[in-house]
Amino acid sequence: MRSRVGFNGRHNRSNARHREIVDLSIDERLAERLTIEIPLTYVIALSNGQLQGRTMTINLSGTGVQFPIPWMVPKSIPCHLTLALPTRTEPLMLTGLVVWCRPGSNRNREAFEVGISLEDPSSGSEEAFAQYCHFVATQLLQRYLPCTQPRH
Amino acid sequence: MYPASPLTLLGRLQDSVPQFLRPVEFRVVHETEEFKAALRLAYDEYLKRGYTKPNPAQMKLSIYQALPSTTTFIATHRRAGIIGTMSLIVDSPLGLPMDEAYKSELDRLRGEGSRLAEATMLALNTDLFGGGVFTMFHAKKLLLTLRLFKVMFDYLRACTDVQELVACFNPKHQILYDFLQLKPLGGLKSYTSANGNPAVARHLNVAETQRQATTHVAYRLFYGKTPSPKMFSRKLVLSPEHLRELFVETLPLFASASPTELRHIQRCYPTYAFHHILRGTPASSSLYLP
Repeated sequence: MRSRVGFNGRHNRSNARHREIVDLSIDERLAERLTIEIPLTYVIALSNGQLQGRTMTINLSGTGVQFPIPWMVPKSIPCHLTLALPTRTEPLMLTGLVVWCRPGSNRNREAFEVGISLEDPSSGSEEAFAQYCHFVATQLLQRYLPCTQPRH
Repeated sequence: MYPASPLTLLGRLQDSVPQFLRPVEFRVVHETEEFKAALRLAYDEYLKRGYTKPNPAQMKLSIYQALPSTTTFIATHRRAGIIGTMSLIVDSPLGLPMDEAYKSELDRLRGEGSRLAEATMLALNTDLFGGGVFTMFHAKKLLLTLRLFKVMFDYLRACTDVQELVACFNPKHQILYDFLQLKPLGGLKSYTSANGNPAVARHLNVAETQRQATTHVAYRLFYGKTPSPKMFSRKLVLSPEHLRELFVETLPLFASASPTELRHIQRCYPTYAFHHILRGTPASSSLYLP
């Protein structure tokens, strides 16, 4: 996410030359995260083998997935995912790269959590990608529509 | 005080989607200056994508916008101004812009007795979101887009007898229109009006959307309260001076219109003195003289 720096709008009169600079990033996130549990299987390619398992997502977005795993894994290694979207009869296969791995929060049984950046969801079939997009958009609308209805 | 850019106010990370949308009004254009700002936004955004060639007016203006039945919608932020726009062009003797590539497909719908309108010139200020933001994955952009569609749809239902909404767009946006359940109308073609870019055509039967209003999440937004025509009572009607300013002096669209087109436009404004609007142009000889 690119940042822009600017002023926070509060003027410190006693210290005018030392203006506080805060991050006024434009919302340049490519995709919003949805906290949702979707069944997934993963295969992470390690140098000495592979780590695979079945779990539930912690959150997902159009460009990434977060889920719990039992071991720490290094960054920038490939990960293959199969997601069982509720709107689809066939599981959706995606590929990505590990972007981070950290100790898990207490909510998870696993020791660690991993963030996967999806390489190009459209690298699979167009129909599968479209269904993934529709799923994400539907979830976003269901989350926000009740509080963003127009006032006539 | 060091005022932040209005655009950063719009996009602060900590703003929720409701906070982002609250200062935004979605409506028809009321004044000519708003209309021009919407045309400039569409031009800027289309130019960024290569969908239009540069023109000296720096506006996305066509002969269809001279028609009083054409309506321009805007998303206008209290402080940042117009951040989104789209237009609705109702079928007329001038046809529709997408007749250029999809006339046979549109004629099929016309032959079935359907009244058509084309949704076109959708443009959001992409400075709000940065590059590469995919509408379907980004709640603010998605809701901004859908709220614009909604005001257009409300107008369609409240103020027109349109039965089929048609659109053509670059295939890379197909996922959004699939999501809105527009049905295939015409296949991939090169579209001169989009600077030779590829286009596909879709259509939507208005009555059918109402049947789906309880099952489709976006249609639940479109079919909230029944829209009243009063919401659109301040819709801009271009004055003779503004018709001349835009379609004669800014871009010579009246001069390059066919006599048939010009006479139809003249009939749409029966009280306007078109010989004054067209003075000094060869097009004045095409006028209907009662």
